[in-house]
Amino acid sequence: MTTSILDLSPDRPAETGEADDLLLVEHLRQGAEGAYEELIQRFQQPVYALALRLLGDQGEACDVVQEVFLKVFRNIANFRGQSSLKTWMYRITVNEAYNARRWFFRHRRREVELDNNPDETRNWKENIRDSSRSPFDVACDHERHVMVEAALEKINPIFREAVVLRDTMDRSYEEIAEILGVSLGTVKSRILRGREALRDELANSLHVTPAMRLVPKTAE
Amino acid sequence: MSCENVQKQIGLLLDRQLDADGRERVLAHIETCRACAKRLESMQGLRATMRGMSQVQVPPELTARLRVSASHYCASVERRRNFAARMSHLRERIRLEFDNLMRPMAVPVAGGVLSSFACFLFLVPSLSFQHNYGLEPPIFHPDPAIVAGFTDPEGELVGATNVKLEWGSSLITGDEISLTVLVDPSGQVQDWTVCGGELTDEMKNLIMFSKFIPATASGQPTWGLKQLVFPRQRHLRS
Repeated sequence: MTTSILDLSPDRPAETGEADDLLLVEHLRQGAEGAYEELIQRFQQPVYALALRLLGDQGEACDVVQEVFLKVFRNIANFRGQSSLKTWMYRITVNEAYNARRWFFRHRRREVELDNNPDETRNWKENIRDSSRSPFDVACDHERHVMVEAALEKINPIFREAVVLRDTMDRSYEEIAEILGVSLGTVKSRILRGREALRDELANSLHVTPAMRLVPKTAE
Repeated sequence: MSCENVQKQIGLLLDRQLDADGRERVLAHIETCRACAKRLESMQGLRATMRGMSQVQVPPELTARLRVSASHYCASVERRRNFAARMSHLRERIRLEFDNLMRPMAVPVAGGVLSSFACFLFLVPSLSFQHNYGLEPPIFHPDPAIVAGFTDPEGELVGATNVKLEWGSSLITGDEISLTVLVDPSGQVQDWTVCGGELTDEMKNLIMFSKFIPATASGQPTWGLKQLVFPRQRHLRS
């Protein structure tokens, strides 16, 4: 039993890109064109992943990511370097996702989504999976992801932010406290309660009644 | 430790938030408790699943949107730098607006010019004056004035000796030799018809080496017929 605990992933290595971040920030302040491209290349994926997990909608996430980058462009002069660039951008993303969610509940709750299967509308290149794994594993992973995504959408957004930042984005408790603007104790509490809520949601979704029950019988 | 407390601390254990003492206590409990071990296992699975969910691919259209936004922002920063850059941007903007304004008109204007040209080509033959494409020269009776050759100061054609060419009419009198000459566009006599007598060699030379103002049609020189006479008393010898 304890061997599984020993397999815990080691402490995350310290962020080695802090010096690069400062240099990038300096170039952004000077208005160097290549710096914008580098910023996009380096941060579009994590910011998009966070926005997608917080909102659960690809279109909304894209809008939020664009807004986040625009805010970064405009406010880079005000970035004082007290936190890492990534933490700062995560904080903006969380705030923008919160605003988007609030706007959604006010304006678009009654809209009917026509395209509820984004896989069908994606480019074929986007649907290519890792070919080194068996289709069964890939299908299992996909199913598991879908279930967790559905469960995430059902839990309280306050808890969701904390759980996603910790378990999906792999941020430390201190960074999460900084991103969310709350104390360390609150972060711990939110993560604990969020995980419990997520676990409960997953347990509920797995409790389905079988449509047909097979009873083994011996041949007479 | 109770199972409830341990299960609350499993998350902290996985996140390495427990001190060594707390970690030992929780692990010791898990080794003896199947339910808590199962909870730990499920939490690890959930964490692994959620970690895998960060590997999402950014849609290419989002990357394009971000690049466009960056480009616009970069241009606006550049624009704000100094007055010359601002003026340059303004010039570019005006030129672009003008191009955009003209572009919708380009196709209709080009089409209009081409269609008017085609119409012109089709209509020109029907608008031109009537042409005579036959071999017969036009029978006009203009004034083929004599401009060169054997002319005297009074404008009459004078032969080498005593023959004189005068303008005639359709009315022929007995004391003159009447002839009709065919004058080409260059003013040379190409043919003639004589009535009431015969021409001497001198007369023929006079006719052939004289130059006339040709008849005109629509302002252009053309073939023409003219009635001339030789008074008979001048060549009584012949």
